[in-house]
Amino acid sequence: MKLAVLVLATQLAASAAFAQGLNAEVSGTAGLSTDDVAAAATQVRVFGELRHISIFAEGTWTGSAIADGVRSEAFSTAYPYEGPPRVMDAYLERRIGDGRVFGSVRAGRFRTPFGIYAASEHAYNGFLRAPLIRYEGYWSLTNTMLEHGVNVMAGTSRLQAEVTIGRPADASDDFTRRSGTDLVLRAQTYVGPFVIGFSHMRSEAYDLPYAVGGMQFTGVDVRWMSSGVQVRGEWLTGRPWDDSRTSGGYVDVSLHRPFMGPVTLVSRLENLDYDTPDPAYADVASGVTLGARVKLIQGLYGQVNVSHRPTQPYGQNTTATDVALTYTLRYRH
Amino acid sequence: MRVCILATTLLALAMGSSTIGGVAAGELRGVLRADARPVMDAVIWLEAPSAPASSAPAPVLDQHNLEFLPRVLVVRVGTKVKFPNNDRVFHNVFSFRDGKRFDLGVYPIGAVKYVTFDREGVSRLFCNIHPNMAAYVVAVDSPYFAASDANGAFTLRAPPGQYSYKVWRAGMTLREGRVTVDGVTPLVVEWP
Repeated sequence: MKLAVLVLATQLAASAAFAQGLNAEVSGTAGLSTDDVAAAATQVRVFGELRHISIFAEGTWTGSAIADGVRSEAFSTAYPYEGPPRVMDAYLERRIGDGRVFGSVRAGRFRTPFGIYAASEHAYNGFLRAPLIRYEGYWSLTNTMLEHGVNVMAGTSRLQAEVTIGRPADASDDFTRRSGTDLVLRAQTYVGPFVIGFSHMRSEAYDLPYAVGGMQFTGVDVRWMSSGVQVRGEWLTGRPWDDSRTSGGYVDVSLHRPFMGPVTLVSRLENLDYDTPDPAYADVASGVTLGARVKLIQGLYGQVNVSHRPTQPYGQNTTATDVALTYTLRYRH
Repeated sequence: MRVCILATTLLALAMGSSTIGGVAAGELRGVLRADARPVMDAVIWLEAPSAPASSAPAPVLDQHNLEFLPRVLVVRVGTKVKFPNNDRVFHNVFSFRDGKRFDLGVYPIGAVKYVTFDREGVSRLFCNIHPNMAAYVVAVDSPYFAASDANGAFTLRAPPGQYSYKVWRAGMTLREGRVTVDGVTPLVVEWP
């Protein structure tokens, strides 16, 4: 087994003085996988609030070294892992309400608000690969789906509903959706230790010759947490295009008890079933991941994952080990 | 008689005083510096463990735009602090080391959780989802405290008299001394 050369992440020093209420953050990640992949990624974020308008913008750049003929989804957590620097989110949001009843309007470029979709819940959070149902290679939703549009949310702490109307603006390396109008509906309720969400979306199919018709998915996501043990998961079903069906989900468990100090242990169990009229292209994939995230010093985290995909692995190995270091600096106003 | 009342009122206003626990209050103003530069988010308190309890509303440590606000919160021992999530994303507030140990878990926008800081000490708070979110809650056994602003300035109110004071800031040594609260004499504390 040959390990690729470690590529160092670039840390940019943000020296510009920001207006009051804005912060900037720079994250750099360098990673190695036994899939013969080395990757380095940098994200720059600007966020905060000016005149009661929340601002969030994020740019990302990734350089990767992948051996010839190798396919791997290592490090594909929530960002494209090839290609030029690009903008991910860039939106403005206005929130209103008194704390009990509230709402918000978000406009701009943002991640498709379906299920567990926030980058911070997928990237460098203990896992170094996206779930099967959120990786583009498995014909489901991907973590690089973005919308150009408007999101309106209203509710209480116990129940929120949101509607998004937009146009596909995906940041995927290879698979993007055709132009059209998207509709995403989401409701979320908070009951005791549970947070439960329901999502539904209608969009255009991937821009591929054989993908005709529209994309449609429905899903449920659940979070539960108690005493440092967090369980979260989502399950979805739908079609990436006409005459095909993708169903699947994952359950993540993370463990961070006081005696563990800087260590968070993570594990994932997942499954995906892709059906198509031609059985030659059908996939049934499953996987299990064990890993850890360790806070080394303030801002610097080390992560290690061992992933096992007994059926239909995306890469050439059924078992892979990924390691990564992530360093994040925040510049406050 | 009217002149006497007017004079007393003017004197009280001039000293910035009010009433704390039924005792005429004074005001202590000052500046905290390190290497001659102002120190923000430092905490000063006057030792007064037997001071009467106050009935102030629960202080708030907000989660907003991927930040804890304020970054340093000082409370009296026994205070229940409100932790609302005012972000569209989830946060997981926890404190596992010094001070109060707790883990609030994940909760959505609009939801609120509470923590009672029932012993003296500094609690370091983090979010397990956003590693650069960090804050301190400093629990002191006194109702007379303040945190310094961007200019290193602070103002606290306490009954006039002599007190021992302590000044804390993250990463710096604890400073101690004596001070007289008389509404006039400012306090300047410097770290070398």
